[in-house]
Amino acid sequence: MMVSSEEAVVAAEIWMFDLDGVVWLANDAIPGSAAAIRDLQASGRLITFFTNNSFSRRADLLAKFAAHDIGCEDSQLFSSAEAAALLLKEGERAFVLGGGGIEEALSARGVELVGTEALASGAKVDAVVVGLDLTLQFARSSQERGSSARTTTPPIRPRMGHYREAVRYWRRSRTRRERPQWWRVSLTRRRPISCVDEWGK
Amino acid sequence: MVGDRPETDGKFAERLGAKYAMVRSGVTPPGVAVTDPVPDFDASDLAALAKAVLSSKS
Repeated sequence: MMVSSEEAVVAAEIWMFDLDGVVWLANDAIPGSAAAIRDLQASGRLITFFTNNSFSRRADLLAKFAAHDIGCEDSQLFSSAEAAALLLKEGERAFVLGGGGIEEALSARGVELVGTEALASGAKVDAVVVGLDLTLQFARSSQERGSSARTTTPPIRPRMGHYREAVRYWRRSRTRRERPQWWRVSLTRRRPISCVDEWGK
Repeated sequence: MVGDRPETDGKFAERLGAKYAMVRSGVTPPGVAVTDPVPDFDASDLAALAKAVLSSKS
C-alpha cells in the first residue's frame, strides 16, 4: 500500500515540470520523457513547465520543446525571468545584468530597460535584475585571482552576492578604462532582484 | 512539482505547498539519500514516474 504522499502525487491534477535534468539533459533528450509528458497530459492532467533559466528567450525555449517533440504552448511555460518581472511594476526602470530572457520578460511587463550608456550618463533605476551574465563571471573570477587577466572561466550560478562582488571589484580598478560602463549603477531605491539560474551542471 | 534538484525544485514545491516528485535523471543520482525536503515520490526518471502514476488505481 502506498503512503499518503505518493497517493497525493498520483491524484495531482496540476503538474509542474523542471526542465534540465527532468525533461532533457542540456541538449539531449532523456529517453521516455516526451512520451511520459504526452501520457500524463492525455490523462487529463494540466501540464506546465518551470525553469530557473532566465537567460534564454521564450522563443528559443519553445523551439527546444518542438525539437524534442514535446507540446508546450506559450501559456504552459514559466521562467525565473517572468517571476522576477512580477516584482516590478509597469513604468518602473530596471538595469539588467543577465540574458535576453530577462529583458524580454521585463519589456512584456512594461518595465523600461535602462542601458549601460544611460547609466554612464547618470540615469537612475528602480531595480537591478541579475541573472546569468558573462560580465559578472569575468569580474568575479578576476577578483578571485586578484588580477584583471582576460580569461574565460566555467559559468557560475549568479546570486546577488556576485553582483556586489563585481561592483566592488570594478570600484577598485585603477583606471577608468578598465571599468565596464555598468559599474556605476545608480539606484533611486536599493532594490536588487536575482534570477538564480541553474547553469553549468 | 517534478524536479531533479531538491534544493531548488524541492524547496519550490515546499514553498508552494505542492507535492514534490523527484526524478534521478539529473543532478541527483540513484541511491543518494534526499532529506531536505523528503520527496513525496521518488522515481528513476519521468518515464518511470508517469508509468507508476498512470498505472495506479488510487
